[in-house]
Amino acid sequence: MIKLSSHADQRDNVTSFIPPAIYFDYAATTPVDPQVAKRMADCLTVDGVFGNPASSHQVGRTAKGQVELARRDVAALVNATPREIVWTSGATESNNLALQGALHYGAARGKRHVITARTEHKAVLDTCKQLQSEGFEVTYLLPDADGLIDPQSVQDAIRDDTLIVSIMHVNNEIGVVQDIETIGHLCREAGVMFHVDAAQSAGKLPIDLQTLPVCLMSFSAHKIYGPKGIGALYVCSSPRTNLAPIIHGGGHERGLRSGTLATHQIVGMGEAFRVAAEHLDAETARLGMLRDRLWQGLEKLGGVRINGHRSRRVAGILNVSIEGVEGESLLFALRRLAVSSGSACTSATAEASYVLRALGLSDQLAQSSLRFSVGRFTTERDVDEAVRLLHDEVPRLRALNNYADGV
Amino acid sequence: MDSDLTYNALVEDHFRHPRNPADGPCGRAGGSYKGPGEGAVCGRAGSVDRGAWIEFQLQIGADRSVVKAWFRAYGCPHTIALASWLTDYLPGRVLSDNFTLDRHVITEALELPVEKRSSVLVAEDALRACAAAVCGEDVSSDSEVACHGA
Repeated sequence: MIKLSSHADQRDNVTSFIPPAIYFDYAATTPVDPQVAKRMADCLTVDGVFGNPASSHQVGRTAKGQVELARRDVAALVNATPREIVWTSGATESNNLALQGALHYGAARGKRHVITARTEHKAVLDTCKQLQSEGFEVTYLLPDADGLIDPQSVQDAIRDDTLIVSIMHVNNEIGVVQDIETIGHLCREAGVMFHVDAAQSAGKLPIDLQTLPVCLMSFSAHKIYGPKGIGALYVCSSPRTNLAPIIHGGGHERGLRSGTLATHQIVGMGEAFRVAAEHLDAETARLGMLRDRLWQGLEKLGGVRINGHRSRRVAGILNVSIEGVEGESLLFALRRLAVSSGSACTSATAEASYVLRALGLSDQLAQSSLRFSVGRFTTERDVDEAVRLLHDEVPRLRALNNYADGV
Repeated sequence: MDSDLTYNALVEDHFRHPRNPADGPCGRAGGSYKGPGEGAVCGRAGSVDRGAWIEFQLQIGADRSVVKAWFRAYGCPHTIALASWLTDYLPGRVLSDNFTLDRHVITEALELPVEKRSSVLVAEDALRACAAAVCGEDVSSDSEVACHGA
């Protein structure tokens, strides 16, 4: 019998990993749809579509055919044309390419100013920080207490040298939906580019890029049952949008993103987007129902508040703050649930969620926040079990402190 | 965003099954209240906003030693476990205004990570507040030893 090396043991452990009993973190990532996984596996081995899509022989052309089919499926979900879709390694790279690409190209025309929001994903905020270190200027808009960006505040922040505005469609922590249509129109009138990070909205909200005035939009596959490590950037063809590439090499993707195309990843993303389009309406209704059921259960605890606007929100995300219980204790007490938290307990220096702080929440409420995100495999039973667990643990922990006497 | 939730068995046990939790404000009498009642000595420290708050409610004997201890706490699992663990540890010990906890013993028993050790200081401040309450009334008399010696 062959003795497994320690590395092999570790790999075995990965495959035999038993996930926590109930998964409520679909906004972090999703499991790959079995149909998607099957199509990906067909692009790897010698009997499959393993060729380099850039090769001109038959094997390569077959791979290219699959890549272009996937491009059509991704474009179709958002009503774009396939040639407007550029493959990247994920939404983080798409955000980097959109912002760095636009500014590095636009700098030559004296445009050096970016407008974004404090509640954007780190992939946008850290890119902006990098651009600032290169001498570009960034205005960070503050949302209102519901997490929404007032389009008027975008209008007011636009200057003569503003090149681009970057506002996410759906916030990853609180699930609020920004008014990208109004913001897009005022950007277009002002002659300013508009980038939207749609990692959390593609496949969850209808997006029509034929009518939405958006220049650049970032997508990720793994948020909608596709694989990790693949994403796309929509680059609108009209008005013509110019970007400087951030990765140089063989001139792939019309020179915007070099590197051999990962056929299996791309095919996986295409299939995931195709499946998402089929299920969008039914899934939105079902997830909205589960989210509301969860909230109705949690509300009965008292001292619980929803973070973010009550109605302008995506179906799958519910972010709540629970008074009278510290965040890490909450997570530990609820460790049968895979949920995300605004707590920053393990690091003495880390702040509680910057998104919730931008909404004006106290440290305590930001620390004691939980993000539940439901998805394709969440059931009513899962929701009821989570509610039951919270009803057991929250009163128990509150009874240990001064919450009851309101000190 | 998420913490790496690892706690030793003692912390988990005290978090799951806290010893001697007081179920209300200090000295509340009657009803189902569990705590020291009339004549209790109480001290609190820390704050909810800073992430750790501990209150001890103590029944003190004639020799100024702790007869029985109860706690209330807000904080991470380590803070709650520490306060609970101390209610088992304190009986028989004499409070003084420069009371110090044996940090080595505590951090070892509860395997407190470095970033959690400030909760020991919060507990110590709460106990010093208890000591001040004990000593405050008659520091001039025969309480010298108990109030100013360890």
